[in-house]
Amino acid sequence: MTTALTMTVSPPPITGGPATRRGATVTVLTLARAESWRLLRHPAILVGLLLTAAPWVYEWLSGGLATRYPVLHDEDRFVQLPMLLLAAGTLLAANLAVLRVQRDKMVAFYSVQLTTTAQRTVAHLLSLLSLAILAGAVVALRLVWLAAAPGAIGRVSVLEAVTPPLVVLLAGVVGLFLARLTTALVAAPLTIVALAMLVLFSAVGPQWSRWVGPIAFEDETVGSLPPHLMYRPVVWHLVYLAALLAALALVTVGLSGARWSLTAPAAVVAAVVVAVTGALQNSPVPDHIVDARSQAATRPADEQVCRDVDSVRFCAFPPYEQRSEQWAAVTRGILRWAPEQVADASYVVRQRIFLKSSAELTDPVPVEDWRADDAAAGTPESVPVSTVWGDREGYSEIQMIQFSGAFANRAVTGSAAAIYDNAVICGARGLLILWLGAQATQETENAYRQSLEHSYGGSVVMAVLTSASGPSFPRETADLVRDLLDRPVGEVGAQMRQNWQKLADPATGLAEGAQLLGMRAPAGRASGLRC
Amino acid sequence: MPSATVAVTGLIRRYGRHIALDQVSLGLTKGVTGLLGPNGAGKTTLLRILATALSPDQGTIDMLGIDPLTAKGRLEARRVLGYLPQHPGFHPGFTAFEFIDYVGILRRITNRAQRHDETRRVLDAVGLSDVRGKKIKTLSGGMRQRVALAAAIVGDPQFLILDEPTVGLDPNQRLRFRELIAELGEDHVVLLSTHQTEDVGALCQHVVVLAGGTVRFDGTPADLSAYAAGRVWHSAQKDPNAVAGWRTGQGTVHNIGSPPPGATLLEPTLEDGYLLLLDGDPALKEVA
Repeated sequence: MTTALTMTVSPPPITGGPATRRGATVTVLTLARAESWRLLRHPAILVGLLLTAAPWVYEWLSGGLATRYPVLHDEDRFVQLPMLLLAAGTLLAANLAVLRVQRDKMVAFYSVQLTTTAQRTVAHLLSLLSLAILAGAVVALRLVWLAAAPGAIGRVSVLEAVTPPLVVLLAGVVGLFLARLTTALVAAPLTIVALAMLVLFSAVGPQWSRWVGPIAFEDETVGSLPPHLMYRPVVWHLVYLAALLAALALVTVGLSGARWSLTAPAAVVAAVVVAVTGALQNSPVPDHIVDARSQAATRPADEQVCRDVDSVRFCAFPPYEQRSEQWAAVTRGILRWAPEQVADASYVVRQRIFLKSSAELTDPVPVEDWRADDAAAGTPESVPVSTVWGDREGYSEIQMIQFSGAFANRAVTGSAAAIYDNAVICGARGLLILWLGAQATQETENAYRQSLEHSYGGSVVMAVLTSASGPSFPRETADLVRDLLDRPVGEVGAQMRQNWQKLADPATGLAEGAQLLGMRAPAGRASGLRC
Repeated sequence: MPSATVAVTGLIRRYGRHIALDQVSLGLTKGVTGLLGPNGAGKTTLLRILATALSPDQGTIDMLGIDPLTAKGRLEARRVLGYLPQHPGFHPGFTAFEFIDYVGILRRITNRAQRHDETRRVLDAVGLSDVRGKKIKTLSGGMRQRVALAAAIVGDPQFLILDEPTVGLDPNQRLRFRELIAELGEDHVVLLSTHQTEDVGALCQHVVVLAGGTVRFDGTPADLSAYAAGRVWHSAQKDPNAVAGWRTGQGTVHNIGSPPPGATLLEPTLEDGYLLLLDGDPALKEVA
């Protein structure tokens, strides 16, 4: 210690601020700013942020973004779940920030300061805004990042994007509320666990529980839906969250010593709003949306837009129009090996939505409706393609090979009927269809190999939109195709084109087809599936 | 004697059936006033009432013209007083600068530049300028106590309440702390609670002895010492009639009480006066 222990400088004229309401307000804002900086540097926030962003960074580094083909009106919802990690960090950090006084045994000191406990609570509440802004920035960055990814389509809903910042804010208020309720440090972690269970419950629980939690999940097995077919009462949900936040914040300030006559009436009003919006957000899907879904699932042609690429007409719901670029890559990859008369024929690819009537996996697609829809639109023999595309955590890629296989089927058979037929395609035709479908693009090939890994007994089902409709291919055919994929595609493609007629002929057996391609015929009869 | 700037009259505070303060009246002026008393004398209760952390059941307080017992007056009083609690606590994760800056906000110094100036000033005043960027958890016990003192003097409050600030400090640190408090006493009203008579002797111009919730003495340290005049003597062996006696470093026994005829009287100390004052008090045994 070398510093002199003397009062060398006379104190500046510190006024301590006027003892007015304005003085108190300025103090609260100053304190909120100081607390904001502390919050932003809190380890719980940094860990929450890291856990939120880690999968995204991994996706970027591993090149996963190149095959994600984001649908932005879905991504604005997908971004919400990982943001709950930041929300959990916020709850914890806010709780610890308030309990700092008790943890550090400074109650005696703080209790005689000019700034009251209630004012400090308000400052803590305001400091949470910095984390809401941080959350908003993270969401915006993620969505802009996805919008810039190849094949991104659709439009972000601002309301969906606003949800995570609001949830982060609410989580922080819960943390403050807990701190004013109990000084027990274990309260915040236990609440995080309870809230995680609530989120899980609302995801898998009964219909009424869907919007109770901070975020609401969709049945993602249905696949992507155009925005006008979705029913997400996000506005009510945001009001619900905001009212919950207000109610908790007011009670928290009340618990901090503010006059209940000031906070209680507003808290009661907020609680009423919570109850009302809680009920409103839980209302059943409106009739007009049910009708629109039914229309889109059976007769979508009228609301779709079509564009021609080469000899193929692609019809899609408006937000998915740009997806035809990816579809065209597949159709081009198939038709490049077809003889002239097949390659130059006109084709239609129509985007379809398949809404299952039940949880069973035995539902067929409404082929008759689709056929009538095509007839009315003047687009007969259309090949169905899903609204789902790309490889999002391995879930969507099956839809790529399903479309590719269906288009190959249409090209080889000259009709769309076989696409929906549940028959087993046993002969050389199966070899041609399956190989064409699999090799169309690198992505369809990956998807094919992936589907083999998930296959029971090695056979392949080319289901339409993951329904119960569609042909199967026996294991022998699937194995031969896998071997063919290992050979140079140009060489196999030339052989396919040369022997197209023979291979496409339903009378040609698998052994004969294999020989035409210079492969050893599979031993014995086709097994597994009845041919 | 200068006029009292902090006046306490007829203060009563009960905890259930126990009376912690009973009709306490005292006046404080610029300079350091020592508040002496055994444990349980009511010192901390009195200090907490003066610091506005606690309300008395009865009595009045005039704090630099402010009545801190009204809601409005309480806030006004907090503006003019600085309080160093007995166990001040500290935020280990804050640097000394961050903490004092934070206290500055709590004391409503909202202008950033002015607050930073004030933070530097008080850290300089307690001799912590060199370590202001260090986290408080890395500082020694004495330094932490100085951080707490710095926190109490942010905004230059005119009335300082220091509750046993030298407890737990080693002799060297205590000496430095005394210097600090003495300097503060030059132009502030300082009330220093302690049960160390050496602190009072070294620092205070005025001393109040509290025991059993009542004021037993209110005067100068010299007066307190004088209370034992003619009642301190030394002998070869401990005098059985002495109120208290102990063998000193010189090998003789220092006795206080009623000296036998012909005893060699000694010059009384503050401690002698204090001990004799509390003679008969149940707390005496503890102190002696």
